[in-house]
Amino acid sequence: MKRPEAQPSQPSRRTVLASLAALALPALPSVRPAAAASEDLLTRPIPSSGERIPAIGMGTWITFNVGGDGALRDQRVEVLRRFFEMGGGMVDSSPMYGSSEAVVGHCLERLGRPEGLFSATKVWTWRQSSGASQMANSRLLWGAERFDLMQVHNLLGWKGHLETLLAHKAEGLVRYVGVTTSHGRRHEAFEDVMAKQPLDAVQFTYNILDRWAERRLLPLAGERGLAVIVNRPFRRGALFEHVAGHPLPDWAAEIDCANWAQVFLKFIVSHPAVTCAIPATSRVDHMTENMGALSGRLPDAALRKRMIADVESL
Amino acid sequence: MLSYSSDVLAALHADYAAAVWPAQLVALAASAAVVLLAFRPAAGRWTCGLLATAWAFTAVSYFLLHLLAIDFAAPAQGGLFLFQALLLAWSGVLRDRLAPRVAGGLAGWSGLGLLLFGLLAYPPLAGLAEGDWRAAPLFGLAPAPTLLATLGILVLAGAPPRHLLVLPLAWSLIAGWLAWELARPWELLLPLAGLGAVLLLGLRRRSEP
Repeated sequence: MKRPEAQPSQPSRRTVLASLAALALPALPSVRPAAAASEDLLTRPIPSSGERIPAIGMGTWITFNVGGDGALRDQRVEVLRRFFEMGGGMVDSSPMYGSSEAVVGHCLERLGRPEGLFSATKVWTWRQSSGASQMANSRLLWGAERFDLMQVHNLLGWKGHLETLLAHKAEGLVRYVGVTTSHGRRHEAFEDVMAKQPLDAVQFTYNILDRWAERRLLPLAGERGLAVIVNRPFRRGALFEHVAGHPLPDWAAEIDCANWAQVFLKFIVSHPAVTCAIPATSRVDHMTENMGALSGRLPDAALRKRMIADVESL
Repeated sequence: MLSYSSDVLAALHADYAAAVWPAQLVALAASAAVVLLAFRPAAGRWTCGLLATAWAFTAVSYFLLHLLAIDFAAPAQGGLFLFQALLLAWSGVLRDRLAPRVAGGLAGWSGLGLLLFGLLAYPPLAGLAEGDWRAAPLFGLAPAPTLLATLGILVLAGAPPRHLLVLPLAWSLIAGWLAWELARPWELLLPLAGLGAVLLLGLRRRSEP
């Protein structure tokens, strides 16, 4: 049975892991204070423009789908506040995520439209004819005049939507266009679209245990000059269960990681083809942990191999 | 692949309960009527009319007007409930093919037990489990008690048309999957009730000459 993300008042898996990490690494600072995270943040360029964006973004699948509940919306405002305070940029959503887009729009309004926002959402419908109205509705929900990145969700009706998206890009309704897939879906079709279509970005799954993207998708993105957005960086929370009860390895200190979330995220963003990882959370303390991966050292190729071996052996 | 979490669903149930008030009073009256009708012979049409209304109201009010806010699959789920409402209206009201009655025996008492559990015991159990008794799901307003009451009536009917059992059984299994995914253990009673109803009906058919 899957465990929902625990409430702040309850001892959570991450709280326990963080405590173990603190015992194992007493010399490390716990989490970098928000105000101090203004310089040396890890950014990555979008290859098609050279524009640099923070390497850690935020997903909204499940976590921001809270409907109209005022208290839950207020909690998400604080999550997003911490995200921007710690240097976050990309917020990614989709019309498929229930009320997430409306909640993101509500949060952005409450936060006064933070300047650092890099807005990313998706078009998710079979018919090209309904794509434009769906994207217009997304702009309305977000309170945005245009999106920075618009993606075709899971390649659904991608031919028609890509045509619309390229027209929107020419009109200035969107700055970058992309396509997405999630774990293991339609690989061959996805590769074909990556290889042949004029995209700016692609989004797919990659994490320390799911590395199938290293074989073809990541090298292809590098060859084609595509930004890579990584979803499911924690394997939908399963990575924390995988390492539960294990203290951070010694090498975590070499890359300035104070918790497992930062280990997992730094593994991803240290891949040279990756532009941004988008972990999702409904908790401020988890957001603080995630955004800590935006600073400090990254693993080199040798350490990445060791990280894989050690995590796989747990 | 669910797009929401259990705490969000609980919050939605609280909002839903507030939004439909005072429909709860009508729902409780309908619950009492279903139980009383089960003791009256030849009241099958009335019972099926109430069940059909309950499935239809749940489809529109719960799935289409509220759950849709967080679940893109809500229209499909509401569609299933509307279809079951149509089946109950067709077979139970127009063609009078369902004759539930409390007639003793294992299946009879079990059917009554299932009916009473769905109408009287499950609502406070679910409300307390979600942390807000005011959001307790009720017959005709929420899927779980509507399903349980329907299963009870079908068992009491002894030999209901099989097509009336298909969607309740399917929904009970879907509800079990949802319960598992969202870590809501009290809802695991729903697939047990669905499978139990099928077992009881099977035993009853085999025991008949």
